[in-house]
Amino acid sequence: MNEEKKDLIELITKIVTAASALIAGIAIPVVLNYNEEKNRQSQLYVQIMSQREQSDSALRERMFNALITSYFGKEVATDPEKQIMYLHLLTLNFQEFFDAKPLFEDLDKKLTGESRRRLQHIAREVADRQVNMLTKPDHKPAELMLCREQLDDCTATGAFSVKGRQRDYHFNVELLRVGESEVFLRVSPAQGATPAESFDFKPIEFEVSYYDTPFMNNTRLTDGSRFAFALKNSDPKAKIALLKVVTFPEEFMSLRDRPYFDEMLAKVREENGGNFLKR
Amino acid sequence: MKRRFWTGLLLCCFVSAAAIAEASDLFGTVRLKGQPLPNTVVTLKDGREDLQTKTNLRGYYSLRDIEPGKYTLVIQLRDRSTRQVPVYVFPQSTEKNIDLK
Repeated sequence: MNEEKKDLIELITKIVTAASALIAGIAIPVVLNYNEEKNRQSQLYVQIMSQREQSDSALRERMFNALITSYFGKEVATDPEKQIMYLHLLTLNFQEFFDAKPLFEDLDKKLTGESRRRLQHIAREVADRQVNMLTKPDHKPAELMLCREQLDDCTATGAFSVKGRQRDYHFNVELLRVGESEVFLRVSPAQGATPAESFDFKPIEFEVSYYDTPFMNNTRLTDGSRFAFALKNSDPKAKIALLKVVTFPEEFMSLRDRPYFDEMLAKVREENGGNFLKR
Repeated sequence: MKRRFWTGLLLCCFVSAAAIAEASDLFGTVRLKGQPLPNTVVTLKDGREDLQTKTNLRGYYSLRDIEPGKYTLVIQLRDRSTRQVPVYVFPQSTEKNIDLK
């Protein structure tokens, strides 16, 4: 009986050893191969993305250089109509990197009549597009009609709010002056009903022209929330202005603020415990 | 007599040209409780001459050659009732979107 039991134990040991060897022989290479393939895929993905980013940057660089060189070139610099077209192209393609306000203002001085109206129209179109890009269901722009001289229910002051991470910020805005293509405003914090509603913000006075765009000219609050003004219309004779106040969603990140691609990948890897392709 | 005629004509031309240069346009969308209002008569009243147009299928309207200033926009609904909306037409193209409740 004991002999039989001993034989059985020996047999089981042999089978288990053989099975373990078999499993190890098959499973270990499979696992290694799988991990290797996964790493190779990650590397390939990173490589493709980096190359795409590089070629995109190179293309944009060439395009920007060509446009800006042509803009200041002899042929275009003497033809305001062509300057308008080149400026339009620049703002359409590089609105997140490039503040074209000085170029717009410079051209504005040279133009009169219909050409000037067209230039202002282009600038308003760019600002409108940016306002639309920033508009989200919980971040709708506020429209403010401000009049230096009272007209019906229109007055020189208005109010708007910015949704912050922790709280809402309430501001008052006053129209100080209406120029030919710009207005001057004073923005101050609204007096809160309770101390908790008050916040530290020094009143600021600034100019908003048709050539200001939300992406370039905005005010950042301490918690990272931002707001910007876009001048929609103005009438210097009647001293009236129509403005849009756009607030930025928290997750908004302009291309200028965008981190380097490597940093972004590192962050994703970190979040996924070292595995880039984990979903 | 001839000189007066030509001076008058020149003055008329100058005034008309100035008026055309100042003329602006008004555009926007008319909605009722968030829905576009198609084929709706939109009238711009300034006490002198009224300007009228109809909204298209998307509720969009546009009026041209308007002198900048304060006006009333009258919207005639299908049940023949009217809604009045004050509007200020700026020297530049003015957008006025209306959402009736």
